[in-house]
Amino acid sequence: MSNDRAAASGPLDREFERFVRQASPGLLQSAYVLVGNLNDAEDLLQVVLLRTLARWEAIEGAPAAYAFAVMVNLSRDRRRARRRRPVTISQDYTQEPAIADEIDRVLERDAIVRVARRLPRRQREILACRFLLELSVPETATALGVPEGTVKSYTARALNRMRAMLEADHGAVPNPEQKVADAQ
Amino acid sequence: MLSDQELIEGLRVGLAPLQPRGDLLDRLRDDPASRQPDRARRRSAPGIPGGRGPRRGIAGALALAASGLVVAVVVVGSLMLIGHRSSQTVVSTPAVHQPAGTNERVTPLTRGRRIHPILTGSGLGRTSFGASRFQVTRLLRVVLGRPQRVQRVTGDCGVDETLTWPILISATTGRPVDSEQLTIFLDRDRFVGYQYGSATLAARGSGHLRLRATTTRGLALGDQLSGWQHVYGPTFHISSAQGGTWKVHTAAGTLRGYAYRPRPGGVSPRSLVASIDAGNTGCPAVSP
Repeated sequence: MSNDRAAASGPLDREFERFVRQASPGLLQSAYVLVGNLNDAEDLLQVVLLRTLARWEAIEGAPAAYAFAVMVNLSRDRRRARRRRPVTISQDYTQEPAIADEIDRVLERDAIVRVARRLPRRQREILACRFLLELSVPETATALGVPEGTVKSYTARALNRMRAMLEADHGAVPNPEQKVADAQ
Repeated sequence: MLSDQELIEGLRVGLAPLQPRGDLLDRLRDDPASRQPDRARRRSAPGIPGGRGPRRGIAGALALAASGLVVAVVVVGSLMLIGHRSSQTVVSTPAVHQPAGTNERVTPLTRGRRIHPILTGSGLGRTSFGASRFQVTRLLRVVLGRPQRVQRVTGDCGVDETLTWPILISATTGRPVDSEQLTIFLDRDRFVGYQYGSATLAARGSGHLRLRATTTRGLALGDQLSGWQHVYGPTFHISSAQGGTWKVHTAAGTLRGYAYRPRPGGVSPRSLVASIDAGNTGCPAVSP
């Protein structure tokens, strides 16, 4: 692996660049779920990628799992630091690409994202790891340092809790696929 | 009551607009930290940041024996990983849309979208054939919204479902034109093919495409075939089958599509690219 990675041309390893292209959307979305606003998420992503690069040759297994573990640690540090600072109000979710405005169900999806952000920290970490980075249960367990059974149970709890919060907030959200099927 | 899968999909699609900045890699390159690898800390446990180093208190002889086994496993695992990674598809970026070596005027009919999926012989952008239904529809849902039609099909040569999005907006009515579509072909919830465009370009002069997609080299709907013969060389074929078709073999797979004849007569290099297809798009039409 080292030889392959050492065959880099330019300042960044090609394989690392490929990793960044592939994993950075999921990592950014995970960071958003963890820290709650886009500016902080982008900063966090950049620091995470730099730290991942610094250890690139030593990483074995899924680099995304490593990067996510770094992200979790940094987000916890950030959360502790935030307790000592004034709270800033997030404005960014409405400032995202205008393309989102064209989606019919953006409001429903936004509701799902918002309830995900209200989950307890550990449940958010596991949801992000499993479904935004698409890591397996063993990879998630390794990245977060918990047993596989914990990953499974927290995943189920998180989804149940999201469902309960959605129903409490807005009532049941309709299923988009069912709508389309019904229209046929 | 939403199912687990619906919640997960809602979360993914809801967050899909969040994409890293386009200059992320440049910012990483420019950061001084990217040129100072922290090799001094390589002793911590692999794959786990801040992981513990070798356990203290383990008998030396046992540690030596175990370390030999671990080294062997790591070497074999690394070799397997290298093989796996080297087989991954490199994500292509779109080439400048200018066929070389030709004075043909190439005028793409597409305009003005933020996301430009790349049409390859092996899938759509990073999503290769074999990907799950969710993976292939994630981007398209963000760009085009819900599919206009979800259709179950039977006996269609390895395709059991199609999802269709209109891609052309009429300039006169402002509504989608049904004849121009992007169709995704699925088999048992797996992405097996796509068709971008249709056999005709009849309505295209009076509208604009909602989705600008090109091949890796820049081939787009509405281009003259002659320009792309120069670009792709002898692997680019034009045929009169099915009223006019084209085909090109690329490293990623075969791209093909219909050709449109602006004037009466057989298909010729002056014909236009009417559709771009790849993968399994159902049973082939009877030719001609």
